[in-house]
Amino acid sequence: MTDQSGDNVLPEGALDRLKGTVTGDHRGIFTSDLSVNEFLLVREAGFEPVALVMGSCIYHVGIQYGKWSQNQEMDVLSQAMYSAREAAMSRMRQEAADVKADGIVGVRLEVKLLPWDTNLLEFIAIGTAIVHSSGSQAFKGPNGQPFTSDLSGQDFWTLLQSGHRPLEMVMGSCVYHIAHQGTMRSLGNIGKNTEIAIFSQALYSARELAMDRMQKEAMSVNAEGVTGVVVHEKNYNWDSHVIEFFAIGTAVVPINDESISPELAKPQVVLSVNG
Amino acid sequence: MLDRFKKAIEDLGDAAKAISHTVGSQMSPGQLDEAEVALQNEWLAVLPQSRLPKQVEQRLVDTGAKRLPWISTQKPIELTLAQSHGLRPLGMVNGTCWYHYGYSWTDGHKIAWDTALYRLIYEAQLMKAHAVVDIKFSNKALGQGGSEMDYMVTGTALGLNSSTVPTVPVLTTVSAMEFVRLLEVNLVPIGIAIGAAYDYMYYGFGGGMNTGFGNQNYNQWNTFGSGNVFGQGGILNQGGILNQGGMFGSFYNQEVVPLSNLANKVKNSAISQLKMAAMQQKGNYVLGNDGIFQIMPFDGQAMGQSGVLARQITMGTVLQDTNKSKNQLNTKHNGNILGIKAVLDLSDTSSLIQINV
Repeated sequence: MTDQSGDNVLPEGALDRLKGTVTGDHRGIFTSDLSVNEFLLVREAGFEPVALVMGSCIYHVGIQYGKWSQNQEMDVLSQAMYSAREAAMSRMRQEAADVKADGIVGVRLEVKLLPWDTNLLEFIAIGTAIVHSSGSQAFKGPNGQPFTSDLSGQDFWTLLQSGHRPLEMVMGSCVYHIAHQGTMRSLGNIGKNTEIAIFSQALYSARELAMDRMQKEAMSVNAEGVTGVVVHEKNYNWDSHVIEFFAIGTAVVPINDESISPELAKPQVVLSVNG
Repeated sequence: MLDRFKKAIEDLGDAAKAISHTVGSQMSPGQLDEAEVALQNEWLAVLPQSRLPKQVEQRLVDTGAKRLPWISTQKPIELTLAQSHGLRPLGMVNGTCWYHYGYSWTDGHKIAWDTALYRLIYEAQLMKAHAVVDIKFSNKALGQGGSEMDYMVTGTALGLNSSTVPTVPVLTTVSAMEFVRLLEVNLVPIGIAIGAAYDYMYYGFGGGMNTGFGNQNYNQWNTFGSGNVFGQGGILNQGGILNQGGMFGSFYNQEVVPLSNLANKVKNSAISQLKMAAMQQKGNYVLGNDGIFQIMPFDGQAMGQSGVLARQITMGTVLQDTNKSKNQLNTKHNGNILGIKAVLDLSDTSSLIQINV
């Protein structure tokens, strides 16, 4: 998909909406959900917002049962979560590519439950596409595609100040089935304060798979590291012993290209007096 | 146009499939293979020994040695500290402990969080970290919960350029930026302290004797192990407050003194424990918060008699003042309990911990 031109991929409505945003004429009004501070800092960093871009994917998550007494990854569910998130992200990235953006900031990747069908999940990715005012291509992400990041305008500015640029949002996900304990085992724990090692192991295994995947994704785009990582454990209408361990963050790389190195502001320590 | 749209969706679907296939090929099959079974068994064998499976330890060592990408829970602003203070992110570390609390909710929480924290320290040691910042506590129960849940501690390990690695890294709940601010005023966050306490009292023997306002029945308020602390009815229980028969049987406005006392006792006890924990780490200050406090009635079935239970868990970052020598501390704070001060948390977030009860 990455090497296709946008005209072949997006529906006409989307193209109409995106058209004109980079041409500089009066119809080219940009849209974005940036706050005033974010907008000014993105401009301060030498970028212009071009368009609010989004991708959506409603996904039917297949059915998989974990063996009752076994800790194991639910690979069908893991793949579903990956595929659907990736579809939403790539649609959003395609919209950004169509307006010739260098990247997307402030990406929010959300998963919503649909109340009328427990097997359906809605994945939404939305963010603001930005373009560098110098026309430099050096900010582009992997494969000449727009970079993606969940950094706010402020965080984007400070990231550049630290001498790094964003490459891509990377994820680590693992849906894991946690074994049930046998009745005798459970009864044995009544009244005791004790660790349940088999549950601890399940979470560790899920964590390990997710973090390993995140590091692999980061390595595949030659990132130095991943910043702003958020992790959560969630259950999306699954059996109560199934959890998703999910980590997401922005892969970054040091800026080596002199032409785009920002003039560094001297860091200053301030104490906020806001409660 | 519809066809074009359909084709677009299919193209995207193919792209997603290709990606998921790559990911999928790295995943274990539905049935566990021998390697997976062996790994699970290794987990179970090494967890009680406070270690991790070999391949997990290797990943952490490789991450700390920059052979793998670092992962940081920190905001990009903290990356500027590499230039200004030589402080770099090494990787994300965590500790987890799934704990069943039987005889004590409070002790169970404390032990579980301590265990998870030790495990986090071990991961940080493997990364050769100088400090772990942004430490967050969270817990989660399965389904309806019950008397067990997962206790997870996460944080970001930091390394200082060219300096000897301490045996135990400095631990702090604050961000790297705040960590540096503290260092600049000669305060070193050296660890995390946890204080937990609970107590309960039974309803009096006069239960059900609420016959109206001004009732002078004898409610006997007991605390565990110390008996009759609040005296026998009379003064404290005019009007039969908190009788089994009806919580607030009185028509008068009045403080429910036994409950106030119970709450104060438990809170003070938790803060004393917090101070003790900080003292053991040779700290001078604790940046704490008010943590979790719960007060609730319990019924007679579990405890023999009905009553009220109060419990408190509080946590904080222990600070060491490098301007003060140990001697100064002992003399200067003579008379002050243990030489430790509890101070208000002025951070933006109201609580360090999220809790599901």
